[in-house]
Amino acid sequence: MDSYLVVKSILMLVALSAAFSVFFIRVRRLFRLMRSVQGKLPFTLDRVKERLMVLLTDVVGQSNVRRKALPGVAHTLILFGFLAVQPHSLELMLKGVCPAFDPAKWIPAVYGGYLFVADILAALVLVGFAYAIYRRVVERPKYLTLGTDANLIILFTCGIIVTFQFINAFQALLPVHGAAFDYRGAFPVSGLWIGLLGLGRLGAGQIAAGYEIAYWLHMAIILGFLVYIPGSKHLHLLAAAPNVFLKPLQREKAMPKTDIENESAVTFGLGKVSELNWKNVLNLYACTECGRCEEQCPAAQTGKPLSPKNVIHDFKLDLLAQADAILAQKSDAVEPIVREASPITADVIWSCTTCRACEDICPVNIEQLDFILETRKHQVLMQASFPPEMQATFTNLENQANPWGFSADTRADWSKGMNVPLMCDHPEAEILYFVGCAGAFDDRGKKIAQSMARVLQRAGVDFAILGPEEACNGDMARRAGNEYLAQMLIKQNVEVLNQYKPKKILTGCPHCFNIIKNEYPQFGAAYPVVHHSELLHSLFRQGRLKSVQWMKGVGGNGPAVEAMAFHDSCYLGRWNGIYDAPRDLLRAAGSGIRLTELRRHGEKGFCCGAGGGRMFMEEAIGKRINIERAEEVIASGAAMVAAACPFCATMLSDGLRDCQSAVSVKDIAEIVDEATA
Amino acid sequence: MATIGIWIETEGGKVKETNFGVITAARGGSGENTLLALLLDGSAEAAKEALAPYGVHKIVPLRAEGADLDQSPDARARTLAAAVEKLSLNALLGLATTPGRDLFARLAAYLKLPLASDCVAVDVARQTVCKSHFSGKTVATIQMKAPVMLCALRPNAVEAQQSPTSPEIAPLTVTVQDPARVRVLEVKKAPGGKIDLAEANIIITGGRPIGSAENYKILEACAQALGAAVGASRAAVDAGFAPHSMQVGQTGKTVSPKLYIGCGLSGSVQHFAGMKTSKVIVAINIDKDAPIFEKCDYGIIGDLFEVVPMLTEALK
Amino acid sequence: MKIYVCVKHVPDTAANIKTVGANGFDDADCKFIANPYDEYAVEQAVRLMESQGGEVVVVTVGKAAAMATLRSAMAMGATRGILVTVESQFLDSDITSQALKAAIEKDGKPDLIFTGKVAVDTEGFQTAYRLAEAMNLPVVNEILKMELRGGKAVVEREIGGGSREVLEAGLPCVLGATKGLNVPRYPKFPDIMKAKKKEVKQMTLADLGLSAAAAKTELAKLEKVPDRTGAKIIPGPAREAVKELVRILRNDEKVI
Repeated sequence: MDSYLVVKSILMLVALSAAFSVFFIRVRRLFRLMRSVQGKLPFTLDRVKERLMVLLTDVVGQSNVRRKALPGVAHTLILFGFLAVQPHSLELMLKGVCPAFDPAKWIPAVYGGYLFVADILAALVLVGFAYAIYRRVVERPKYLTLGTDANLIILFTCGIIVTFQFINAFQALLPVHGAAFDYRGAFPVSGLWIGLLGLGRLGAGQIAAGYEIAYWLHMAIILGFLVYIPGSKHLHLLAAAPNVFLKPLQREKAMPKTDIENESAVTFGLGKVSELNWKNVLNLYACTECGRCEEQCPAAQTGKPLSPKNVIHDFKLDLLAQADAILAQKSDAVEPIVREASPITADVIWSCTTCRACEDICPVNIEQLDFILETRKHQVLMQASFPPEMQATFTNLENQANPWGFSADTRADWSKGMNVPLMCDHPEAEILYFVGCAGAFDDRGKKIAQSMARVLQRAGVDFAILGPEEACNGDMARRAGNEYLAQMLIKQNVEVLNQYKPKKILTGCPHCFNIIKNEYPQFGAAYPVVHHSELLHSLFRQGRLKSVQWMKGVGGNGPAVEAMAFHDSCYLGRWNGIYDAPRDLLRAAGSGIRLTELRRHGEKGFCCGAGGGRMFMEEAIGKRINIERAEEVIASGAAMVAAACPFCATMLSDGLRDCQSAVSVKDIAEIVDEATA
Repeated sequence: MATIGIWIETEGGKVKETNFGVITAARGGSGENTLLALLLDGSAEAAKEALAPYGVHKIVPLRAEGADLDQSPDARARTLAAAVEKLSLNALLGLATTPGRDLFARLAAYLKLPLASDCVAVDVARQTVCKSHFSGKTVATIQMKAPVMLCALRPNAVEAQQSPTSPEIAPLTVTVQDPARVRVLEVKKAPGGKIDLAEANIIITGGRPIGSAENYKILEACAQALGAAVGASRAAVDAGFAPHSMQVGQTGKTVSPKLYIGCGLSGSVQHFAGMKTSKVIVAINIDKDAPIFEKCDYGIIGDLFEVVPMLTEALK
Repeated sequence: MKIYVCVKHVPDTAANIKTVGANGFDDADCKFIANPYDEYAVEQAVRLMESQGGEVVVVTVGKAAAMATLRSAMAMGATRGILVTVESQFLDSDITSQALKAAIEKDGKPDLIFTGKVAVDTEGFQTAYRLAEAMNLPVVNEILKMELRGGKAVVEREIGGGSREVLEAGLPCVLGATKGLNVPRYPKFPDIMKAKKKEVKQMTLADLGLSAAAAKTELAKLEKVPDRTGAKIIPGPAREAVKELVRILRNDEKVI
């Protein structure tokens, strides 16, 4: 037996050294790769205490993972069970090298308690995996990747747990010598195998052999897994926690300001994987292809080739495939991301509506949008490659500062006869109402702007508009990748804003709201910005607006509307966290109103399809996003759906009309206008 | 008391009706001008019959020696140029159709004379013309200062007025040096029958709400009843419902009919640039707030798919 | 190939025109762009240069601000530019074509000259023809298809009613481009930046021995066309409204 132990010791030493070395080398290569990419990211580690709290709630508490109930619980069981097993596996490894290593002798009470708990948790891992296997074999949701990688991971982990249990079972049957730790009864679950398989009837030699076999199997699997992890999606074991720790702490997000004036820059945006920054790479490592982003993605759910999960996965594959060139700093040898036979096609990158549902739902806080938007930037700026119908939009924005090419001089015409002052005549106005292109030129949007103006006047608010001095806020251009045009428009507005130094800016559109609030400061204009849902609600709270009558029915003649739904705008909700203000506003405006929620609402709200510049692009693939949403509205039974964005209003109206539905769409400003008239 | 030549455009041997307005413009207020109808093709007899009611004094069929007028646009222009000199014309008027614009531009360049193309009004006595500048947003009055006034008029810009005469036919042969720079290789004729948009006196246009190429049949039926041409807005063309040749507007054709009926048109500035000078504009649109209702003469708020067939019925 | 493209700096057709005085307009507060038809011309020239080699030179006659149109043409790929500056807002097409001829001939020997079919501001529709005649070159205008065949340009143009003419012209010649010839490219950002540094020769009319005073036309008046007002919406159900409309058109307006 002694010679066996010596051989075992040597083999274990070799195996451990080899496995850990390989693991270390592979992880180091990944780490180096993360450091070798050339993208710049200005980053300071701030608010460390908060971040530690996030780690506690999200990683230890698994709060984000458990947003999906059953899979969340299953994952929690798997995670903790897996962690629980590690100390014992480690102990067994070390004991295999050096039999004298015996914590059972040194801390028997703690050791025994640990084994007891670990054994139960380990069994729960199997429960978790039973559910996982059920999902993959029976349920088979479309967004879940069912591939070799996933299957191997399940196999490995289950193997680790089962061999662990068998080690324990056999351990409990091994003879106890003297004062050695008594393993009998130490394993409440593993011990059950003894009874189940009648292991107690085996001879001493068979039991010893059984133990060793289980031991070697366990070691083979666990060390094999160790070596496998860096090359698989299970890399998330290492990358998830850091990614969560380093996630942006605020919900609001600003697109990075590309320095297009940098004459020495050879490229802009994301053209090659070597141009990613280290945080992007960490994102890629953290992804475990859970598919929750795809499940939420409006494009993926309506038949477009875009799946945020696939984008991340494909970027990761591209990065790993070209790792050699990147590590050697040979960026010329790196191929562009969008190339022939690449899975990242034009349809993939242009189908995105930038709704951020993917970023919001990701349990490990991956920022999928960064990849898509920076790729768009490169395609537009460096290749002039974009959906052809955008060319007219870009040209119109450049020439007349609005996407439809209406004369910039007529930007205030929507307010004809309403006595709305211009900022140039009334620069001391309390509020600068930034109307936006839709409010100024779109037939639907103009009605909303007119309602806004009436309501503000009714409430005695001192406001003024920029009129012809206002240019498009630049959001659609920026998200459509045209950073040059966007910066041109932004700078134009910034110059005008800095001239007036407004006390407060009111926006009627979440896109105006988002970009002026979160991105204009990059260009030197940081002013307090409020969305009209917030302002109108505060006017009600201050008593400056009073609901006089409730909404008449459709067409103004029917019975008062009772059940109303509110469609959350992505740029108001997920981008800026405003969910309650519009609902509170509706309740204030219509006492007795019954607000019903659409199936996908709040953080899980379903996009109308217009964001990301898509309002101006053709939707030729799959089902129209706005029809998908319209059907949801119809299914809710509401007679009317309220929106807080002129684009949402247009998309919903068009969608409902195409579904031949009588459900009407009104902007909250229009509702308040009617209610307070 | 000027001698004014009017180049008469023909199509398939027939004199185009739009020439009549040009003759009226040439007559001017005094009625004392001598009007010579110049023909580069078509039969003189047929021309005499068509033009006599409008006041031409002579029909002058032109023949060029040493030049093929069908093959060489320059030869055509130089033939006309020779006629201008030989007949001692004070002015030459014509239609600013696609062939007309080309002909007059070549002629003006050859004779080194100023030219006003696509005019909406002409005063031969004062040598002034009115024409659009800035896509119909402004009207420019231009003073021409040359011994011969060259002017191509927008079709239907001047309403034809009858003033019957008995013109004589006086053929003229000129020698022309064809520079042989440009040669017509072939003419691909489009399937005929449809009235040319640019010259139609009545036009009915369908906008994006038409929804499909098929649905233009509804407008075509109405056009038949009206004797009109069918047009399309840019949005309809971009959506693939109609070919570009049917597009009316800034980047399409500019038209000046007596009657323009816009169905499902929003009334965009760019579209208006192409039909602003229509005498009567009628709008049919389901949206009562459509901007076109502020810029038309008469409007009906309704669904074009209901209204247009009713209109077709009412016209029969 | 040495290709010249004549371009014009014009007010955006979407822009509002404010008349000033008897025959002027406010060009300071107005958005100017490259004449839309000229973009088809530049695109065609650049494509030819890309396939055959050579250079594309863009030429314009206008005020100093016309430089912007040269830059945008160069962002599309034109090699360099020539700017003939004038002081006035409007210039007679005869003088314009003489200036273009002089500037081109001073610069080099053209293999091909492109222009846009018409300038959307003055709508003169004759500059290309005058230029060609002055240089004794063939000219075809409103081309929407073009190819080079055996040292000649074979082009197509529409002649009304949907019919098309196919013509042939020897090189060098002047070709006027219209919509449908190609799809003008959207410039890549690096090209926009590079264009700012490309060479532009500048000269005045006087430098070319020309004078605007020699013009044989004069813009006497420029007046805004008022939009029509007083639209009559015919009320009632569709059938009644249609009957009334037909009556009005037939009896009152007498247009049918």
